[in-house]
Amino acid sequence: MEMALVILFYIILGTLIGCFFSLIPGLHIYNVAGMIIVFWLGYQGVIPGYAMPAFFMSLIVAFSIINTVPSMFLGAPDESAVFVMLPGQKYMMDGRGFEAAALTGVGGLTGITVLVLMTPFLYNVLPSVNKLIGGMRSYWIMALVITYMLMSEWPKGTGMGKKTVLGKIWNAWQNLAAGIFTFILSAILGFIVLNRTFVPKEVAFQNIMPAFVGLFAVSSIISCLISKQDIPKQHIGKSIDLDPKLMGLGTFSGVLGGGIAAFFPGVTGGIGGLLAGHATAQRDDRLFVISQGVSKSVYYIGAFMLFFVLAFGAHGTGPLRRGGMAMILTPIVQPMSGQDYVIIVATVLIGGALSFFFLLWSSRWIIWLISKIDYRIINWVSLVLILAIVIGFTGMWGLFLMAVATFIGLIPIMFGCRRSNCMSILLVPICLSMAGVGDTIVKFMGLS
Amino acid sequence: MEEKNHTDKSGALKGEFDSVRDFPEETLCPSCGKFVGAYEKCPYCGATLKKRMALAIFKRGCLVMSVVGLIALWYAAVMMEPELITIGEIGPTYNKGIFRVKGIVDKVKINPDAFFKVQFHVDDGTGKIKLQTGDLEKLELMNKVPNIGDEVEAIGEVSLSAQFGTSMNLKAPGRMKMIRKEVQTVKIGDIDDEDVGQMYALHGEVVSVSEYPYGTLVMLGDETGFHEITISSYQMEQLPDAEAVMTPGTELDIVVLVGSYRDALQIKPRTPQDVQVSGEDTIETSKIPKKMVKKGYAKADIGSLKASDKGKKVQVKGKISGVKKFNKMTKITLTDGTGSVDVTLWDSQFADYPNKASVLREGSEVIVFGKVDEYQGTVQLKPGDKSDLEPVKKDAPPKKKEEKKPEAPKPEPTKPPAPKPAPTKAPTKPEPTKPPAPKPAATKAETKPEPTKPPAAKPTPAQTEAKVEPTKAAEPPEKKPEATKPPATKPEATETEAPTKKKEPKAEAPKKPSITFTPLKIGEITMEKDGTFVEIKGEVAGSREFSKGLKLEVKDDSGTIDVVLWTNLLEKLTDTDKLTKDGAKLSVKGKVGSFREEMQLTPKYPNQIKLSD
Repeated sequence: MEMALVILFYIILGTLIGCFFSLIPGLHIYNVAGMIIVFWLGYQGVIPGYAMPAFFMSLIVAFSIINTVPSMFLGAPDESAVFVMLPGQKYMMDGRGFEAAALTGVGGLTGITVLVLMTPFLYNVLPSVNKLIGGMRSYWIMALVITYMLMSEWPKGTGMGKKTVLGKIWNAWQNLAAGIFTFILSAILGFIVLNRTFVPKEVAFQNIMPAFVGLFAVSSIISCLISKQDIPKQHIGKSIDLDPKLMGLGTFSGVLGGGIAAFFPGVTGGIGGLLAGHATAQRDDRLFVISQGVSKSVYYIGAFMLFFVLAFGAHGTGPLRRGGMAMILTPIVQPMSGQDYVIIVATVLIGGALSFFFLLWSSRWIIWLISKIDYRIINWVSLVLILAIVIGFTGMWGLFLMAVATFIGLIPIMFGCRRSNCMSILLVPICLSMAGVGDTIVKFMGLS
Repeated sequence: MEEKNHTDKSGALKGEFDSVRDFPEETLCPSCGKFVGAYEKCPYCGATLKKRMALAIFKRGCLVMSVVGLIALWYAAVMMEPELITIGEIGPTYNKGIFRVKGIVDKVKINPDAFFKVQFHVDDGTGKIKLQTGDLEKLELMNKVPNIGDEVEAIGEVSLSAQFGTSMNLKAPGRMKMIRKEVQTVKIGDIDDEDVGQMYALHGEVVSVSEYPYGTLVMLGDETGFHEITISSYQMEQLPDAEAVMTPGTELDIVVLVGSYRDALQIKPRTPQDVQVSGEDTIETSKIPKKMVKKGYAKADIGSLKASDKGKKVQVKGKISGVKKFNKMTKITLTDGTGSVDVTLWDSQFADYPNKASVLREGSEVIVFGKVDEYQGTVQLKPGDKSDLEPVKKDAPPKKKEEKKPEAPKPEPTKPPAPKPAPTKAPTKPEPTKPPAPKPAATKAETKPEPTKPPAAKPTPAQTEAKVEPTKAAEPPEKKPEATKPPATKPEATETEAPTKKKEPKAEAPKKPSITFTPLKIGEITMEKDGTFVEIKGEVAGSREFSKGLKLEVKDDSGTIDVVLWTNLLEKLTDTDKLTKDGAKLSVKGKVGSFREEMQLTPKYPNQIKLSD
């Protein structure tokens, strides 16, 4: 009983900490988790070992739901939220930002419910699927995802007003070219970062963090800072424009997109969002926003839940590690029994419910805040905070890495192409390594 | 900021501003596109209308900076040597870092079927770490497959797991720096159980070759004895001169790792490059004519035969020094100057032996192919049929009458010149166990200073002379007497570990170490537990037959594991149906192993698998 109370305490604590840090634009919960790990290693009695999974799960549950708020109101989405931006900002410019946040939150809650209901599937079916796919050389699946990601982006320019043929072609296709250029640069960055440790050895597990911060967080904050857009007055309604059919459709596409991202290695929430978005975008903005909420929660929470499904490691291969949190915790957490999974399910439910209430409250609070303070000031504060974390945690090399990644991350913003192209930082090196040619490329780059 | 060139060349605006398309471009706000006339600041959006910078500059700047920055980062990465760390300092926050480690290899596992085909442990004095790579082919090509005792410096990605501990996935294993350990040369007959984990250079002659499902068994012998060398199919394919290696009579220089498999010695070449055909004829084997060589039978001196060789197929040459007729068989005593041995010829097999009277008489010189056996503590030889007894000379000179007839079964040959003395078992003991024969302590110490002989890549000259008996060709030489025992060799997952202390002279028969079975949850059985003895309790969740037995899927609340029941064990089990039934609750003791990256548990005796409450 005492143990259960301790775990409950850490679930609530984790949710609150997660909610707080998720409100800071550009700060990812994986960075927060990394800092907590370093802190925990110094003071190991702080969190009892048996409460660690619940604590970290509550962090990620909170993040998956609350992160919508800074993404939408402060314009600094993380990698998984870049697709919520456009429809979300459309809502915001119509004064319906609160409703959009609530819709995403509802999507997140629905995603959590589906994940919990899927326990028998996760436990009994998915491990067999994993075994089957493992034998099928799953880099093909990643290659398909990459192909889909690249080919599903269409030219945005019309070429109107351009007199020459080349001018028309360039006008029409420059965003696509910029997207592919971003994709290539990010992939090269990925090979570099995954084959050299730039950060101090004591925090080597955060080696890729500065690159992610640069690609997604700092570039977003910079784009907000140079934006002249003012946020109109927001209306805080008591109901949301939603019906069960929309919810069902959004949930289906979100679970599909987020599920693929959670299950396949190297495929992240942004790609999941892209898949979910493509299944819904042509129909209804509400559907789109909900599906993004579902996709985010299914990706973040689902990936970490899979870590606790023992059947994946039943044959001595160890737990399934998908998503950053599982990677971060692998050295210190080992799922031992089915009881761990039960605790995780309880955490997801409690943390999800608390986070949803916090989402509604924090959305109101942010709306109030940006009506009083220019949101650019908040972004400036966030930028300083993020820079401090990057320098303090990873040193000057980390800062340099972040700067390069920031410039790459700005290309999609400047040229109006998809920011998900930046995800090739992981997708390409992982896919090519799985295909057996990674070493050849690394050797070609002189990094072996 | 909006792009400055918001209008096209004709001054027309796009989208919602189509209604003001007739206004000149300079009268429109470049930021919001609305008509501003002569204003210096847009009354609608507040944008400054003079001294503006084109967004294209930022766009291009962004592209340039990202490319230049990336090049600088790449250059820094190329110039940057991964940091050398001590193994002891590695903690959870080192996970996924790319580092360099340096140390001595103290354990090697090669498994061509696994994802990580090569796994080896490196000790740098502050701790141990497992280094692993799937690039076995490249390592072999560059002769960089690590061996125990080698000093290596490698770059890799540290991988930490609460379940599997610390390991490092090698980056560019071919560029691993390595200083090879000097290999000690020993005589083949000197290798015994105490050498498990050691690496030796051997020089010997191929006396027989047989194939088994996963590779080839090459019986290699020299003047001191013989041993089977297990060459996996994969290694066989890589051998530069496989045909010569498979030809009896070929002399080989070979560096081997001594391991054990199912309580029997398993000697394997470390890499295909470790097997070299030698041109030097330095072996003092008994003078058995090459044409008398029979495939599957190892040449041996009679004095080197011992009780622990029971079940081995050998061929000996000697003179008949005694003939005794019994009710249903004839026993001849064969002597070759190194010792004597009894050969049992059953009437059912030898009754119609051609020229029986002239061959089976004292003084006749014969070659006998047979299995080593033991009767009342005395070594015997049992030929299979009449083709296993061949006279060397048809007209053997008649034995002198005054020659003393040796007395029947002699347990200890008087003074064999071979370095190994005969078995020390008392001949009166009814059913003796098989203690390994004590060995002179000096054998290895004397050979130690001898440097490793560089193998000469000269093809064998003797292959055309070898007599091959097609009927016996496919029959592998047997190591174990039990007929029910499954093949005692398995190519994959050979693991060798450096012994903790140097070999010492044997004063007495080594004691068999007692085995403790550690009770574990199934989920706790990981690669780290490979080779250990554990006990699990669980429920049968399924079973499937395979060619040599049955695999039971046993699960508990922490995971599932395959329990392997070999045919010989299945035959001894009394409650097989109950034990293998789905849902049966079992207690299983056994040795942890892995097959195709999946853990499995193998009980050896019937009492190690039983129903639990």
